[in-house]
Amino acid sequence: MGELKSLLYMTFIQEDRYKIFLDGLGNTLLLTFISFILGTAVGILLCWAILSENTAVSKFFRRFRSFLMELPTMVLLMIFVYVVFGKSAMPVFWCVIAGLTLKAGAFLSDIFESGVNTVSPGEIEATRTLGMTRWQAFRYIVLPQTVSAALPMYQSQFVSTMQETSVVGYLAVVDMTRAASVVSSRTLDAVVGLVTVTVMYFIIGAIMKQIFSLIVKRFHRGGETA
Amino acid sequence: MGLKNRKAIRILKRTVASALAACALLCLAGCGTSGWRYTPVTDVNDLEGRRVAVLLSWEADYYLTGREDMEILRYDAVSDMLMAIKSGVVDLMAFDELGAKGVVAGAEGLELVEEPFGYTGYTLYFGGGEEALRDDFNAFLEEYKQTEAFTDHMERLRSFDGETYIPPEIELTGTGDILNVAIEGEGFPRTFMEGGAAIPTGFDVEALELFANSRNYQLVFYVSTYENMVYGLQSGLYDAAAGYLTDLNEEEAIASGLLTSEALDIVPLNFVQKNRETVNLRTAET
Repeated sequence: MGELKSLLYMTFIQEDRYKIFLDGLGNTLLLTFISFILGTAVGILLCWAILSENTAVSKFFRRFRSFLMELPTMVLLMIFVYVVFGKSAMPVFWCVIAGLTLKAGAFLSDIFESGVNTVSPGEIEATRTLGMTRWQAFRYIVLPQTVSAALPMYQSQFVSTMQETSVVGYLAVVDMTRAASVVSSRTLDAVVGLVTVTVMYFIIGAIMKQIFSLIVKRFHRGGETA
Repeated sequence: MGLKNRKAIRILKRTVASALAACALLCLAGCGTSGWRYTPVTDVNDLEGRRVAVLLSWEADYYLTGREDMEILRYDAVSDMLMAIKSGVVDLMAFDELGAKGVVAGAEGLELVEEPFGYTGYTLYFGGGEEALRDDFNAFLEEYKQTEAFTDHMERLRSFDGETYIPPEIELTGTGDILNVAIEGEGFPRTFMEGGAAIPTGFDVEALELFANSRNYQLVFYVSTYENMVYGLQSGLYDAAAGYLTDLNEEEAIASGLLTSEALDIVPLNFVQKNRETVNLRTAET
């Protein structure tokens, strides 16, 4: 018991090491939220470009997306940090966000495209027959079905983005996983640090699951009311 | 929707798509590589705003942790640090003098900042129940430091060029109890494996061999990693461990149930930066 107490003291209190965990938590949350929100915008734009009537543009962005999706996250981040933004004054943190944003954007655009493809062309033709404009058809027919189909995968992508942030430690950005490594390297004990970050990841995941569930419920309720 | 609106939307769509394509291409072509702002370090006490790469849980990491004037980036491997300094992500790398000289000798375009930013002592770790062995090793160190062998050890340490380590000839003569020692296999020049014969050697190994001879121990080496050395000592698998074990984290080692010896030798800590001549050439070009 005394040994555990001393280990907990060394892990959290000594040299204010709890601050390393808090920094890691803050960075993980920032990396996840910023790259996911920006990734959503990139995903929408990419999806739009891929569904473009211009075949050349569509083909180019489809290849660009598959390149991003197939490239391991670590390699993509290394390219961004060491090559693309290497000699710029941009902090590594923001280079990493740029890389994660593109990675999340690629997967999200795929999710959005699958969502859009769930709407049958017949339905769109029917809206035209009913005299709806393109915007009205998109707003009332395509968008609700796309969102409904994409939301579960969108939620999973959030968790994936959060998980992918755990590789940034190799680029010397202190996220939660790296925080555990840094503290473990000081205390010479891996267990307490790992248990701490496992609990933290679980809590973030659980909170986000609840938030997404509420959004899905609200969305379906809104759909029923309409 | 009117024909004009549709046309406008189509043009807008094409413009956005083309802009995206251009951004993607520019981004991948390295448009962000223009801000070359590196200036070499001349004073190790004036490092305000510098980005310094260290190896996680190595001596420079322990020594610099807490410094708020600089940004410390902790890497897992020297290769990652090299990539970071060459691409401009960090301004400096921090090592002990031996490591710094090794990096400068092995990689092009780098130089040692001569003025040390600190000092560290290298120790041996012992298992929790090995007080007698630790005390005996400390007693040996006191004797050893009075000998010519130690003077020679220190001279070779100071004149180490980063590449060449020439060990003294030590014949193992111990016939008594077995001393199980874990060493860091890639800790050149303190503990490493010599060429194809895979014989443990290095500055720390020399001291251990002389200790074993003087106390009639049979020495058995186990090549390991830092983590395994610590776990092995904690579980009683090894009696002692050596290889870049710094006295800067002595407190944590003791709190983890290990024992540490007195410092075998004191080594300066140095920064490594881009070679000033190379930097000046590049600055002039730009």
